[in-house]
Amino acid sequence: MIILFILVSAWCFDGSGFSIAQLLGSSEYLLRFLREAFPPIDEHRLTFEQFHRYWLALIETFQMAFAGTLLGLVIGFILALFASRGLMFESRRSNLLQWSVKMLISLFRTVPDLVWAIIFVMVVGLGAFAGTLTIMVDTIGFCGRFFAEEMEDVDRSSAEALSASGARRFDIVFAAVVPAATPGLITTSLFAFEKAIRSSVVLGLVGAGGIGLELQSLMNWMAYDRAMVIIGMIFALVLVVEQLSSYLRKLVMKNER
Amino acid sequence: MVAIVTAEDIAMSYGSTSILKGVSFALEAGESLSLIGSNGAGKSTLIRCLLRLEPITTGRISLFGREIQNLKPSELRSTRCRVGVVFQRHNLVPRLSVLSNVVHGALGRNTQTFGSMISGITLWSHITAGSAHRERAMECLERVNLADLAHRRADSLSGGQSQRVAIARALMQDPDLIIADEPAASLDPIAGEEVMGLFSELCREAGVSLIFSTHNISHAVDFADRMMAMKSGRMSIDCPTGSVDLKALKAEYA
Ligand SMILES: Nc1ncnc2c1ncn2[C@@H]1O[C@H](COP(=O)(O)OP(=O)(O)OP(=O)(O)O)[C@@H](O)[C@H]1O
Ligand SMILES: [Mg+2]
Repeated sequence: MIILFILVSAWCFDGSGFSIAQLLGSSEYLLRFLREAFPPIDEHRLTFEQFHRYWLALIETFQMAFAGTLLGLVIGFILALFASRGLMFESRRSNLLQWSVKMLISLFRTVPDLVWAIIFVMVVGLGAFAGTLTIMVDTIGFCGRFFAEEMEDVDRSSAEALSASGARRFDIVFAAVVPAATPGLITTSLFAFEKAIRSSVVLGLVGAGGIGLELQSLMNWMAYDRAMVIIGMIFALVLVVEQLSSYLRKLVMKNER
Repeated sequence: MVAIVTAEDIAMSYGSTSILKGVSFALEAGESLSLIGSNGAGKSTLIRCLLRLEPITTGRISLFGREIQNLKPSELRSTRCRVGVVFQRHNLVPRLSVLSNVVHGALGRNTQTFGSMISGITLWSHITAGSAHRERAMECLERVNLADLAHRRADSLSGGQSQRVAIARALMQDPDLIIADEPAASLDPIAGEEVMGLFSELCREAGVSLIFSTHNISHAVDFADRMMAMKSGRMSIDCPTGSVDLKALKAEYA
């Protein structure tokens, strides 16, 4: 087993073209990047107007991520209800429906977000709307899967008790299954938002709005100093969102014990 | 008299192990029936079959004169909502309040009325439930002496307390038949007597029929008109509690 693992690893490193010599050999480019990037804030090069523009782009990134996640959560939840085994329906025919919804969710998840972004830029044009749609589709794929699994994992005995009292499936799902799955649903939603923030930064590279576009043009212009400012801003945003989300997650978990 | 429950020669198996092997009995309106038998005799399984929670392989089961095997989903629901069930594991929704869990008892009846889609939504939690339902749920909790715990979370209760919440939820259904699987099992002796007393009072005064299983022979004799003993999937005794042969009973458990 271990030998197999070592062999596979060796094979993969070989294939990945990993080379320390190459990494060090290019150090002159790396040094040039760093030299030009620091000090990032220099009054002669970064004007207040430019900073203001970056700031607005950062805000737009956040708005895109938030709105897209929210839409994705709602749609993902609805799809998850149907993708979850034995939840909404229990007949033979519904297995087909459940399977198709699951496949749809997988499709949303497996196609990379940059590909979705390129598609949406073609459909609705450059800008934040394309980015929002991309985040939405990505979130549907992520939450659809995990929401469905969380609702499958809930202990069904309380649902069975309600079914024995003659309650409808629809009521049983929302009275017994969803309440029991709530902590998991919230945790997944927070992860989805973190993920959306990270990916919304990159979406600008293909023109789907947000701060990524600024970053890309600065890199193309080799304006590494201002690129560094933007990287710093992105870092701060991601950090704040991750901290906030892990704080909220702890709050949810504490409520459970 | 009208038969509320009839079971004719029912058999049931989990996979290839047969659990029930030809069980027959009938229960009349207002009658109470106790069910005894050692662990694994098949009491809980019989109860699950009566509600069509498990499919039977042969035989016929009727509730309120309707054969349940062939009912459409909506007919099955309208039959089930007349039966208040208390499971051996109490099966509450863990993260909701006690009161919400009791309010859920009204979900079944609710599907019978027009416009039930909307009013069903209000019954998901006690917060949205109408005041009529909330008051009724409080009454049911009072009957099992739990009114002071109405706003506790269901997963913070002791075993006996959640047992009583499950009983309150069954009462909320305003049932014509109560089926209780070891309802007094996790209750202290006094609470156990109280709950059994409550059941037999409902039988006498409201004409509710009752089936309960128990390992407590004196409950089985004192609180039922008739008793049945099960032994490895078969009915071995079925007699009025007035004429129980205690020696034969002891032999069943041996
Ligand atoms: N889901 C299941 N799958 C397979 N076998 C089962 C299942 N549930 C119960 N059984 C078996 O069916 C038999 C009858 O179980 P049942 O729960 O009806 O007994 P019981 O009379 O209620 O016992 P107790 O007094 O312990 O509650 C047991 O042998 C049990 O192992
Ligand atoms: Mg049992």
